[in-house]
Amino acid sequence: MKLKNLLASAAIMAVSVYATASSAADEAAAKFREDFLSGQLSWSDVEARAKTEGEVNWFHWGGSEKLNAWIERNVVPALAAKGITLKTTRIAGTRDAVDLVLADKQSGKGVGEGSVDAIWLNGDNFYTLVQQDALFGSFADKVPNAENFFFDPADPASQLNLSDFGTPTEAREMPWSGEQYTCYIDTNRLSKSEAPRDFEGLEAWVKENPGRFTYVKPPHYIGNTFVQTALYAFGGGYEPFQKSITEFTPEEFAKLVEPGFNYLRRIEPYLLGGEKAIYPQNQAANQALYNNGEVDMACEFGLYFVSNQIESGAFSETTETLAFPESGMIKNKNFLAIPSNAPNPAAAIVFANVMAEVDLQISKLKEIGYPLGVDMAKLSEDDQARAVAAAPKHHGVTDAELAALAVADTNASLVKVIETIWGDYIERKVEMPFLQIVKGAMEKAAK
Amino acid sequence: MRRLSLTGKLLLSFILLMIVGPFIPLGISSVAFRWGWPDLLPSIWWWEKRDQVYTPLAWDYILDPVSRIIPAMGNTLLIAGAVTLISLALAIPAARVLGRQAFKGKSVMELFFASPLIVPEIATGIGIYLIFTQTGLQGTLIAIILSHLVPVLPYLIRVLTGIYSEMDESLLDQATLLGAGPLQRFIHVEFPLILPGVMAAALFAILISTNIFLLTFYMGQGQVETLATILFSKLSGGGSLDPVSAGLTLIVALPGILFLMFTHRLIREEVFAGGTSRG
Amino acid sequence: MVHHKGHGRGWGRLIGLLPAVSLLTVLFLGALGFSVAQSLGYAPQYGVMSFPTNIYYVSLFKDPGFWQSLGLTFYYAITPTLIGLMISIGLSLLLAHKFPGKGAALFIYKIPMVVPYLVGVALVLILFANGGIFARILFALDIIDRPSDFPRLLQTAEGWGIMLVYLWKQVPFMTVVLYAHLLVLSREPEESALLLGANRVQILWHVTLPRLIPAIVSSSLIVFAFNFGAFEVPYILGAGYPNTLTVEAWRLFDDPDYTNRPKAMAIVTLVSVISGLCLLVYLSLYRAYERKRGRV
Repeated sequence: MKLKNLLASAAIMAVSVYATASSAADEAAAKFREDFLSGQLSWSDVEARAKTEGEVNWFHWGGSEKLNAWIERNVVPALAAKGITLKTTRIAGTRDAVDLVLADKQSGKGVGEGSVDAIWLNGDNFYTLVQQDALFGSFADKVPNAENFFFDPADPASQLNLSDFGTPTEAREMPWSGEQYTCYIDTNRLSKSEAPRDFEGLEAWVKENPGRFTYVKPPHYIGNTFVQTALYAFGGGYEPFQKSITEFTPEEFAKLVEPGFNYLRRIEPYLLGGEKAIYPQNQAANQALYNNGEVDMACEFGLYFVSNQIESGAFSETTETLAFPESGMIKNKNFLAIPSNAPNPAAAIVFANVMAEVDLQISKLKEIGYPLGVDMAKLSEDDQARAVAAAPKHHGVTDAELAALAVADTNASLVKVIETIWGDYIERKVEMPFLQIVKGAMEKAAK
Repeated sequence: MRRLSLTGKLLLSFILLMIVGPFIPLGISSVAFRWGWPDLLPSIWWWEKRDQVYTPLAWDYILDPVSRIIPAMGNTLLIAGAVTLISLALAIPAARVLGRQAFKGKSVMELFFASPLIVPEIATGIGIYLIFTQTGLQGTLIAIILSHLVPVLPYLIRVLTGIYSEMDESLLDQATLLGAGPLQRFIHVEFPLILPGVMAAALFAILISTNIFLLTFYMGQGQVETLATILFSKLSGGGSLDPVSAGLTLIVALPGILFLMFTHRLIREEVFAGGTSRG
Repeated sequence: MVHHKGHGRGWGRLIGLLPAVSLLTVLFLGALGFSVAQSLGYAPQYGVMSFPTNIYYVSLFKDPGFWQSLGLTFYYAITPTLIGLMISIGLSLLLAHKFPGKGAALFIYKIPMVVPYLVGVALVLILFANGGIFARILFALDIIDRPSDFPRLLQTAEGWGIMLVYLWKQVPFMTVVLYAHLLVLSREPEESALLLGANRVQILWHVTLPRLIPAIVSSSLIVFAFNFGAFEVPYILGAGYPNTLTVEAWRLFDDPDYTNRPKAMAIVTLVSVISGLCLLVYLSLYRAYERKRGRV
């Protein structure tokens, strides 16, 4: 047994020596970062360095076969033309990539030394990187294709580019795609005229047809967004939810969200499963419920989601998008962020620029139905016409209807609080006054 | 041995049907395009649509480089091969000692080697992951291979110890009497004696390694894909099975079925029982 | 068995055992050590440095959710072990007969043993979902009108889906162990019991089963221990909440808030300890039974 003790301590010693021996920072990369961010480098300098770096490691959600195929066929060759090999890591959740960046950072890896060059993200994942000071810097407004975006804070059209779930982007991430939270129905089972138009209508309809609706369970972002949409409807629209949590007292916040949460509690007995309501874990489970005819209506992000699903055979041809609710459908953009410890920072910047190219954006819209990340009004008339022609067909709604109802998403600092309240008040039905629950959730988030 | 009655035959056929029957809808699903409620067969098949859409469908996707299933298969086999070789290299010397010698503390040693087989994978898995994050090894093939050694090595030691303890020692003694050195004795006498057992154990080691999910998932950190991790990410949503998931499930089942074809006439039932004790 | 003890073995023994022992010491004991240390508050990498503390264990014991999860973990582990055992005894007895196509049957029934649990998960999803094959068959037979009329078997706390996967995977395993045991048993006691006028149920209950006890114990023990610590099956097919301890541990470990990790480690430590204790109790019960029968 003594031998074993000896071995164990030897192993632990070896481990700790290895862990503390952090390498010296990559000075060339650090200098590049400083020079680029202060505007001292020309674009050809960046491209030249990107070529010597030779590769870029992009981490993206890999759950869509369409997207994966589109990337291999379009993005890989576009970067190869610039002398850069695109290595993509398909992750199940964006959090995995954020974790990796933070773990690298904790072990003292700086610019040029980490393992992630770019992440496709938005919302709380971006917020986490901002809070941990783990972003490369304001690059998105310094690349040639920045001209495809509104970045001027004075211009209200810039809002979606400058604010990501209420967190100022400060051009630390490149807008890449856009989304809107939509609901869809099967017109074979629920006619358009009977379909709810707002949350009151939804309540009346589920009471008539118990068990024919449910929503994805928070803290999954699809579920969070449904809850936020309901809170908007009963809390005076999206404006109050743009503020940060630090601007609320628990009493004020409880007053703002209580009507919405009471609504969610009121409809719960009429959701799928009745008394023991069933909330699917994620969009795949939600789609299965819809597809198997267990629910007649379901909601998730995706302006062209319905046409994509019909095209791939997943949904029946009788599926239509619903302009629900009239109180406001959350719309946002998603982005490409570069971490502060990107191993190939120049290649990452070139990659972000390529992704913002009009041709690639139009091909993304046309082939896989991912909405434009670039701003339509910034494009030439020619390109605008091409983009309009490329857009997949909507089923049951028009672009104008959807655009008229679009509202901003919730401030990222509120998201965590809202999901905690949902867990306590709706899922676990904690026996506490609502204000107590809100206080607890706010304390937990402040920790 | 008595003959089986008619009821017995029916009962047995029913159980066997429950075991293999589910693979039939799985196979159908893998070539479906649209198979919605309440159809008993797909309303649109994969081959009717395969030329009309942008993204490769079903088997086209699985076999397309985009799906990365072929490299994942390569990783799976590479990991299994390395794990098996390293485990054998470590297990044979240990089993020689445990199977042929009696010494103080032997039972402690045996308990030590058996304990990784009892502790749940999630407990060892998180711990190993923490060790590797300290050394920066997480997310590499090496980390996965090392982590697979924890369940595979104790299993091999147990099986090989059994083989050594049943070995006819007089043959070794004769070799010594004839003047063979330790190395010659090992190569020409001992190794041929244990070879059949080693082969069987190695096959089981490969099977165990290819079927491990949780350790691979932890250590690989999404950066090393194997068949098991790809299938997990396809299934973990818990939604309905799409054609790609169905096809992938068939591929993941393939190594085990091939293994069974190779071994089911060669390996005695009781060895089999020991070999697959850990799923 | 006579062992050779000549050879001055001290060094040889050391050299033989050292590589395997040191590898498992680092990776296995080291891993467990890390887990236990973190569960006691040693986690400087997440800014938790309250070693030694029992707050993580205390907070678990105070949480009714923990006890609920523990109950479910036991329930999902024991139920399929018992049901599976009954089916396996029947199946192994059937296989011990002579019948046409026996070679194929011996091949087919082993298939679930050699494929990963995830394959079982996929099969259960396709068969037992509310819009799955069985629901469609019932619809075609006019027994149900819509998918929600089909009993909800997946992703609920009742855990039918989880247990179905365990049964599918483990009945073959237990059968192999029992069948292998039956093969080496002689038929004499059964035949003399038959001569003495016992009926088949009596023979099964009083003669065959007692002789199968060692195989029953070893196979059910392995199956129970596996089920108790299993992760991916309850993760995919269990309820979002409550679920097994392993899934709860995973959630805590995966939480963006790293300060939850020590609590996750407390859960996995408890899972290991509880499953070890169960095995000990089970084994000592078995020993007591054997002693009573005067075998040992």
